[in-house]
Amino acid sequence: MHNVDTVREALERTAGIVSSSINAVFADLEKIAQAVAEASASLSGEPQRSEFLFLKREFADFIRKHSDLIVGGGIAYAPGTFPEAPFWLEWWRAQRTGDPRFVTHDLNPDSLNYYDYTSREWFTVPSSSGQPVAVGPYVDFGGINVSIITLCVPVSTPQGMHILGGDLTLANLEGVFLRALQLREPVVVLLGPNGRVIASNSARIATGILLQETDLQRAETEVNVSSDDLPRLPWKLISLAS
Amino acid sequence: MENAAISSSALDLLLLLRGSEPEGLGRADQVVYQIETAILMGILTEGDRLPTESTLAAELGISPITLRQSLATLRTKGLIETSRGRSGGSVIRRQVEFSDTQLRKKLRATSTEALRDIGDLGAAIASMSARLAADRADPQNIEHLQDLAKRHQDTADERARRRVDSRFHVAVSIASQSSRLTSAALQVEAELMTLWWGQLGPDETSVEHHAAIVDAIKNRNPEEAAIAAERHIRSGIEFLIEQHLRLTMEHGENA
Repeated sequence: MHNVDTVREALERTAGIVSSSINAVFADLEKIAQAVAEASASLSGEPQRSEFLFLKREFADFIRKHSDLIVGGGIAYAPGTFPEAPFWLEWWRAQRTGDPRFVTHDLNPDSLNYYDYTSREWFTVPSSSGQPVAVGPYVDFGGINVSIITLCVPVSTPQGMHILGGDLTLANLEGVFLRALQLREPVVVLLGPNGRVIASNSARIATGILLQETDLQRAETEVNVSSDDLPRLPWKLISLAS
Repeated sequence: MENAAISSSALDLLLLLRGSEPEGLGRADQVVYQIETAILMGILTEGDRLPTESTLAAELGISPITLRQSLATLRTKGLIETSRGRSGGSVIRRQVEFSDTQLRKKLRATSTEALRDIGDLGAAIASMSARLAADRADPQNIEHLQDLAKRHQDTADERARRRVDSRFHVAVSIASQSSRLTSAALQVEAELMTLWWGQLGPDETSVEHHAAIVDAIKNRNPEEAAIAAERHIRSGIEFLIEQHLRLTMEHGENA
């Protein structure tokens, strides 16, 4: 038998460490969001993409600063922001050396490879709530082909709601989780809102799988990672009875 | 006394390793990787003589100039030695060496997600290979599998035993008579080899698993063979993930 209080304490400690690590990333995204809001407010006439060129540097610094957690980031503009390009997405991916590289997406709706970002969860969820949120995990095929979680920050502008994002890999998050938890027993699972396992301390319940119903029924102690009403990290830490 | 040139089956396995190398390597470095991995997996062992430069270049599909670059790199690493003259050529000198610290660091740096993913692929290859082998293995294939299972049981050295285990998996694919499955099995085993090395494996279960796979293939039972092979790979990966989790937590404590 595990002492329920000790387990709860470990889960709460882990929730605190995980959320404070990730909130540091959110805080810097919000600074960039502020700069986007200011630049948008001072626009006169038709918006041009060139007026947001400063973001390249901002995101390069952002990605480098948080390279222990994130592997990329960028901005998806509200559809129709720029007359020259109705859909516009600028995303960068960390490289082993040097500045992050620009990730090209096919934004032509007639193309077979069309990347309709306006229908992706990481765009729709924060667009409709207007609140920062972590979306995923989902597998980013055509991107880096691994499971990621996107930290999303919406910016309300006269042109509409743009979404800023930072891509967190599960590999990086796993390290934060395990080092914070420091428990091999009982089984503890960090669970995403889609029922997918973000991390766990059990080899049987591996990252990326859906938590089975039979495992869920063994849930003993549950702790929400964020305590807000509209949580940025809609994740739960669950310990399972042995 | 030096051995004669490596057997054509060793050369075939070496050629099948192509495509497993990390992205972004030039052609000469790809060949270095291929040969290094073959040494790591025991396909090439100390004293083995590589074919002549012109033969090897032709087999690898590269120019002799590119091959010379690859061999120079391997010489610098001390893995091969080349002599001139009529009886000259390149001979494998030693096994690739890693310290325990290097190996542990590598397993720690490989995420649960990455391990699970390679385990999924490995289980798919192993179960289909075993299923087909139950229908297609000839007496020679079965004898070879039995021999490898016995050698695995009898080998005392950890790393040598790991090499036999991985060769057993490749041999099941060979017994399925599918060169694509064999190539895929070989590449998965190559990726896993050094991850295993820092760890003391769950050997008793491996011995039982091997016996179950061989029996099912021998009894011509494809369903049983597939189940046994999948279970074997899955339990191996679960063991590796356990070690990865432990190493990551311990690292946090000492940090």
